[in-house]
Amino acid sequence: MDPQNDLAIPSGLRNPADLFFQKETIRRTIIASYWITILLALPLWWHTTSIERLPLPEARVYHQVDKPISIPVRLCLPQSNTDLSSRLQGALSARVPKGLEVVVESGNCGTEKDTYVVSPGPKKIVRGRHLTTPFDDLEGLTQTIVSLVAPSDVEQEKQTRVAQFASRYRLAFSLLNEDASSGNGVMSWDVQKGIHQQIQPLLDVLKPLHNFTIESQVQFYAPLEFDLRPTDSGFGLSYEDLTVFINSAEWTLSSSASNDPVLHFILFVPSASHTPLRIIDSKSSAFILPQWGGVSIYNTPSIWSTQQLSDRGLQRAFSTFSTQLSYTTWHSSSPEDTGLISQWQLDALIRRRMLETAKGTRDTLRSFIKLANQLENMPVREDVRNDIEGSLDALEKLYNSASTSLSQSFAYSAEAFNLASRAFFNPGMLALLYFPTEHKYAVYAPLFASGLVPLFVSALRELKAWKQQRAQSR
Amino acid sequence: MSSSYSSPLLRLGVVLPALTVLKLSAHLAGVSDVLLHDHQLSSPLTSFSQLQEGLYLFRHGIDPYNGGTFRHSPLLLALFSSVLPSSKVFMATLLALCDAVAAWALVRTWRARQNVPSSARDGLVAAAYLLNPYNLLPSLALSTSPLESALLLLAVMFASQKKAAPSLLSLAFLSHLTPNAILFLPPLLLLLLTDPHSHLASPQKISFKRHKVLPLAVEFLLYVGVLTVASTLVAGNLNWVAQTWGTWFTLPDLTPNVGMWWYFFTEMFDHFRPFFLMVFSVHLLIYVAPLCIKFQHDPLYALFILTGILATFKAYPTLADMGLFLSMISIFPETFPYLRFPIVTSLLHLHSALLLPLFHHLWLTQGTGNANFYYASTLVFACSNGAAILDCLFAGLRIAVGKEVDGYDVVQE
Repeated sequence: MDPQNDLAIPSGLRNPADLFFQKETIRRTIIASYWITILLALPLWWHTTSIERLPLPEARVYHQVDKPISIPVRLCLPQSNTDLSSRLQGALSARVPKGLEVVVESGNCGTEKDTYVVSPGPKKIVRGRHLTTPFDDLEGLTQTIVSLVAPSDVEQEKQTRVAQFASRYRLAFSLLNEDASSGNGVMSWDVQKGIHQQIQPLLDVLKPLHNFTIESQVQFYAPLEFDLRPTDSGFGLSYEDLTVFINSAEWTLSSSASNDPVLHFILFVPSASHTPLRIIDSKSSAFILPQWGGVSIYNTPSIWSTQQLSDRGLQRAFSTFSTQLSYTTWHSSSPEDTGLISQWQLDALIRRRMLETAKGTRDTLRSFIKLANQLENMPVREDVRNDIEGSLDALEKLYNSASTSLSQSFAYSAEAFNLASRAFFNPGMLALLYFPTEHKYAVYAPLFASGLVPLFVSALRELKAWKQQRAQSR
Repeated sequence: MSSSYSSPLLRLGVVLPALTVLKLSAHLAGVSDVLLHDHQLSSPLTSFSQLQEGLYLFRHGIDPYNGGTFRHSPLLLALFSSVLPSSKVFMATLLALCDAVAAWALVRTWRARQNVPSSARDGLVAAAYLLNPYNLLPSLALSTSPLESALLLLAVMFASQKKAAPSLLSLAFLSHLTPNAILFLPPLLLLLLTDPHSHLASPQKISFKRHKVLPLAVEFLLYVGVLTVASTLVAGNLNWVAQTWGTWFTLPDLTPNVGMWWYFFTEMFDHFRPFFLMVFSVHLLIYVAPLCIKFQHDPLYALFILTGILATFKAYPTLADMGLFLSMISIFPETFPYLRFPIVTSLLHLHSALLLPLFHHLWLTQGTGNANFYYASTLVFACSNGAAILDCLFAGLRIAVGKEVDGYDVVQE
């Protein structure tokens, strides 16, 4: 269809180059219309593939996380003189862990909340926030007060038992029959009674710290994954067996309805062929799995199945669970108190958790900023930024109010921790996390490379022809 | 163009009623129950069971657009909940009548193109529309896509008869059912302002009164606006916009169909999803201007090619869309001698028409295949559509060069 070529066009046909729609203007208009549409769509391309990254309050975060926190502990000695109180304050300040600030007053104790009153007396009695103890020597007094105010967490082992702080815990109580068909199955248990009697008091005490959701289940076939070791009087579990006891693959232990951490409490009934099952070298038949929960083994007294767990078994099981729960939510070792947990201990726990969450918040915020700066591909959306700002606000309120009410400051600290965690683990930031920039070309190329080639080629051809024409017409 | 073998059986007055009755009896014989949920014949936007679900919700006072499964236009809601019953038998009758109307409109367009009051090929044109399995099966499956084909053919018919208002109104109704139909507006306006006669053999620059374009476009937009207001009144709020029109642009429903979008977007990174949705929508837009420029001498042909392109590349196509294109070939017999590979195209279509239900069954009913099987068959279908469109495109351009002469061949550089 080149008019320059010398074609012998027969009489029936027209020269295609002379056709109206073969004219250059038509062709150029068509190519131009394709290109105009593409060019008009380019801003839309930019808009739809840009990553939304809102600016984060970096400076504020760095400023906040470097501030140390100090929680005041106020003691009052109503029947002493200022000399004793100042010496006591010095001794205590040397002994309490970082983060606590001890203030000892003497004389008239103000009616301020959260003040601990220490008065001399013949025996060590703790009641509420009042301590009566012999004032024999400074060392003994200091020791007593320190053990109440900040129970020592030197014992690493006990420390690792405590689950990480969360505002909401789920407690999952499971009655697992290893094999109910073997004859000695326990079909049900009065879990409500057990919880009400043994667990609920503990939960009520811990109410300022955590919210608890309770779920329970009964399973009739929960096999063990390993072979039991026969002993002279039945079967035994060695220490290694305890570490692999939980058959997470086949036992469904908790519902996945929410993301809250779960503490599991399992009452395991071995099958008739494995009864009685004991733990080797141990007098107890229960064990704790750190930060996970606990297991208690119930050997049925007889080889026939019972409809409901006996009262004695229930009571024993739930008191074990109660101890395991207390070990998992705090580690306690103060014997000199009346009642489940004294106010001193609760305050000490709140203070520990407060320090833990404040540190956790600062760490999370710091690493989040570092992460956001390192990964340029990570989208930071509105909700993430709001969470970070909310966490910073709560942290600020915490610093401002640390010297007033303990429960209020704890609430702020917990809020800051939750918001910082929520921002850090927000799933909306994952989209392009492992997406190197080169892959973008792999996404675009298959569709566009083959489609744009004819457009480019025809545009270049028209440009060349146009330049030729202009050169010729001159 | 009278055929020497025209028989009384092929008269329009015989063909139309006979085939309509045939369709109805096929429905009454229970064919519809087999075809009702076929993914090739009805998409989530045209499915009869979805329509019934929406009508049920609507009649019980629940907003059908809240749930995310009902994607029909509120106009259909209004029509079927007030004026017309929505039982299966009635829907089958309605669709048979729609098909008859569409065939009649096609015949009237043919007559307008030939500028004759009646011709011997009328019955053949009607039969080509009614007996095309791509049209027959979707209307037996009670999908609403024959409604859309009928509305488009009515718009084309009125435009061929220079009746602007009915033509634009039909297109406005169609735009409410399928927003893609707005892309038909440029060739339709050109058709209104010129004539439907065949100028393929003698292309020349189009001459139309430019000052008439804007009033017609405004009239169309006015019709669309009135229908939008009516739809909002029916639906009670504006949820329907995102659920009906928005579906075409955001592709929330990835039910397999004969198109090419669904598979692409099942394997799409979330980050790129808005971008590719934009690309696929602009892709439909990009063909309108070049077609109208190239075929400015015969806008009806441009509209015909655009039908084929939209049937291949739109978001939720059914077989009825391609059936419309293939049946419309019958009104351009002047291009038949110049089709280069009609047998290949027909065989490809036969191949894909057999492959599509087979692989669909293997994947979804039997479970021994996977999505790639069905995607491959939709690619074959797209290949056959592309072959048809390219062939018609070339034939439409080739006529202008002249009748074939022995020893000479016209090729594209």
